Amino acid sequence: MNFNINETQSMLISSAREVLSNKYDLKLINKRIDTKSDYLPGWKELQQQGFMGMLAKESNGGYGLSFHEFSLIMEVWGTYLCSGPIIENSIAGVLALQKYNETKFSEIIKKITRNEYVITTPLSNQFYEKGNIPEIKNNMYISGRLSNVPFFELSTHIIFIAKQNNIPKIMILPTSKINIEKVVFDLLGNKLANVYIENNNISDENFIGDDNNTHEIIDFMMNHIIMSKCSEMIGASEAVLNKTIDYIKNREQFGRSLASFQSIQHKISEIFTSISETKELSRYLSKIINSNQKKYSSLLKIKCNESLNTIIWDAHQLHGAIGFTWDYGLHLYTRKILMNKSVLGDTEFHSKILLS
Amino acid sequence: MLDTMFSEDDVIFKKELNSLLDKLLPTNWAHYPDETDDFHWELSKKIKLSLSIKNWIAPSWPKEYGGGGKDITKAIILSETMAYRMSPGNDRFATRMIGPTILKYGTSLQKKQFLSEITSGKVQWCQGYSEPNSGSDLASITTKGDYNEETETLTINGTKIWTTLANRANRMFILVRSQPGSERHQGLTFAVLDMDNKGITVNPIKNIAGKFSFNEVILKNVKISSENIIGKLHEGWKIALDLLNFERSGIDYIGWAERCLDDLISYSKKNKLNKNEMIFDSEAFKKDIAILKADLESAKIMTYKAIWKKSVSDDIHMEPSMSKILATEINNKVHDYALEILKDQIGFIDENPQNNFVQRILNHRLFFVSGGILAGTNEIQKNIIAQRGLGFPK
Repeated sequence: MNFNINETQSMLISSAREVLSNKYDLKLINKRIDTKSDYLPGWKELQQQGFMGMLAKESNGGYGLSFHEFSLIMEVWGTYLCSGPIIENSIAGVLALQKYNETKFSEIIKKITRNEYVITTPLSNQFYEKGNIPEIKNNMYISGRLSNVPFFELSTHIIFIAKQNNIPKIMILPTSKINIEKVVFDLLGNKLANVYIENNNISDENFIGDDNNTHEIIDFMMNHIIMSKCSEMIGASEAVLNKTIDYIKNREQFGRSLASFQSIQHKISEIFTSISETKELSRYLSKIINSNQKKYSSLLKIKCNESLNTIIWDAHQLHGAIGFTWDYGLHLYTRKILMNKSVLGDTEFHSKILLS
Repeated sequence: MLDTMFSEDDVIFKKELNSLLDKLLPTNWAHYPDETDDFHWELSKKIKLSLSIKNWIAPSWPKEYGGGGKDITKAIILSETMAYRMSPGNDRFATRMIGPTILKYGTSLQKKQFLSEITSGKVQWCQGYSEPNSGSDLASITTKGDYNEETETLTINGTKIWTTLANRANRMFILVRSQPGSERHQGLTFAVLDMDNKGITVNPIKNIAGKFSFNEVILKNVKISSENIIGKLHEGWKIALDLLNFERSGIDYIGWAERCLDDLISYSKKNKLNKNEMIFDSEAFKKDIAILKADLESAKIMTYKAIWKKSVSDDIHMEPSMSKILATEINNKVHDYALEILKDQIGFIDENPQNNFVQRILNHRLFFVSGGILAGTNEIQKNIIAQRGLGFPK
């Protein structure tokens, strides 16, 4: 039993903080929501620092770090409200391809680590929202629509679920031959593309896994994507906590510091405790998560959905009117937490898995 | 789920402990361990002796004092498993409060005497902290400890209250005001005493569940030797606080909560919500149980962390407070939810053995009112988190 973060992990966290902390710009994120700009804080910076190779083995040009260490970076990523397909590349791209088809996809993995390829995936929309599933015909062509594809325009490849004779398959295709039908936006102004594939030629090269392990690969990806999103939520919650503490300590009411009121102290202790327990659970589960342990990711998603959702409303109450404004920035974290809660399965969905 | 944190050796230990409890506990044992009850008390003594033979009373203490010489994980497993099995015989005052305190602050003589005595399984300890009218304000204590330098004795006068198992205990650890005129945290001495000493009167107090789990203890001219002082005279506050960090992990509440949740799930699979639907098949029930499970697992990991951290470092402020709040709250939440499911059956006393589960949950929920109050109320813990941990003003 050991709850310590080791020296390498501490350095990794410090390094990510150093890279990402000065990229967070409240005005630019607000502007992204207002004007639908392409502001992606942190994405290029992490790419340039070689973070896309975090989970890739050294033989594939990466650093061979663990998923636990990736989760620690995702906390930092969430703290600074960074944006970009880091989860898509690291999980669907590197981790899953490396685990299930390393020989076949080693060149793609290497290109991801060198930032030559960028992966996106609408997997969560397909899996949890029962989104569109393209269809393979005659083993040669694929057609269909995909909804809510994140970061499509900056991606070179897309990983998604298709079906062939009603049997699910996991595919990887270049995005160059896929067309955008419509662009929608998430709560933080990030673009989501609805795209269509029209009789694209496919071959064995486009299939990830085989008939025997498709479900396992999907579970593997989903478990890790859920855990990553939860880490991101935890990071965002920590930013909320720090912002709230900072505000309370500097705000005076009735001639005394807000921080001196016991009711305020108790509420902040509750928020701190709630985030601490969720973070500890997340960090531990990220060490042991695997493909066949859906219960772990479901447990964590339930915890994040229920607890972190509560802390954000408490933080608003503690902020008073200022947190209600556009320019203060608390709303950005509120949106982030609500957004992550709304994707990848709600509490009802995960409760069935947990109790199965 | 967190069993994955345990090593192979830990898993074997847990299995062997459960086997031992299978042999010692009556079949289908499901009572809160109430050692004021004669049957429970006899069972407690028997279990302590059996644990002692295996050096399991304090698995993480050094072997020279009868401990198991193992890492802290075994102690966590012991406490959690015994709570889950609702087994008596886990003297938390001895193994998780005064024991670790003596290990840290005691003289070699004190260690040899008191620790070896605890691991022999032949003593019961109680805690002399709370006093009438002092509430959660431990620094306000008034029980006097007059020190005589010539005879090197401390004469204690005062009243302690809410003293769990004082009517069974052989020994008490106590905090007294030894420096006349001192205030608050100053001039306090931490000591241990024999409950057979002259001048001690124990008056049982009936609790909300109808049991005599705690007592008033009146100390009148109780004399103890300076050899019974832990640490230095007049410098007991730091030790008293440190002991609270050992006390506050909340690990028992995790075991009790998990048992209640598991039993509720079993009950839900055998009982119907209405004519057509089993309770367990209700979507709403599943959702509620899943949320409780998630809360329980995260509270559990915090209790593990608090105990582990205390075992490896003195740099600890908030973890025991957080784990105490989380463990006591989830235990109450689980019992509250069970009461909600059983609400149609709790309004009357039913001696039907088939309805033991209902009676048990009701009795336990009544008893667990104390969880958020004892060892420093949960509100005190929130003060600690805010003020000592997050730098808020006092």
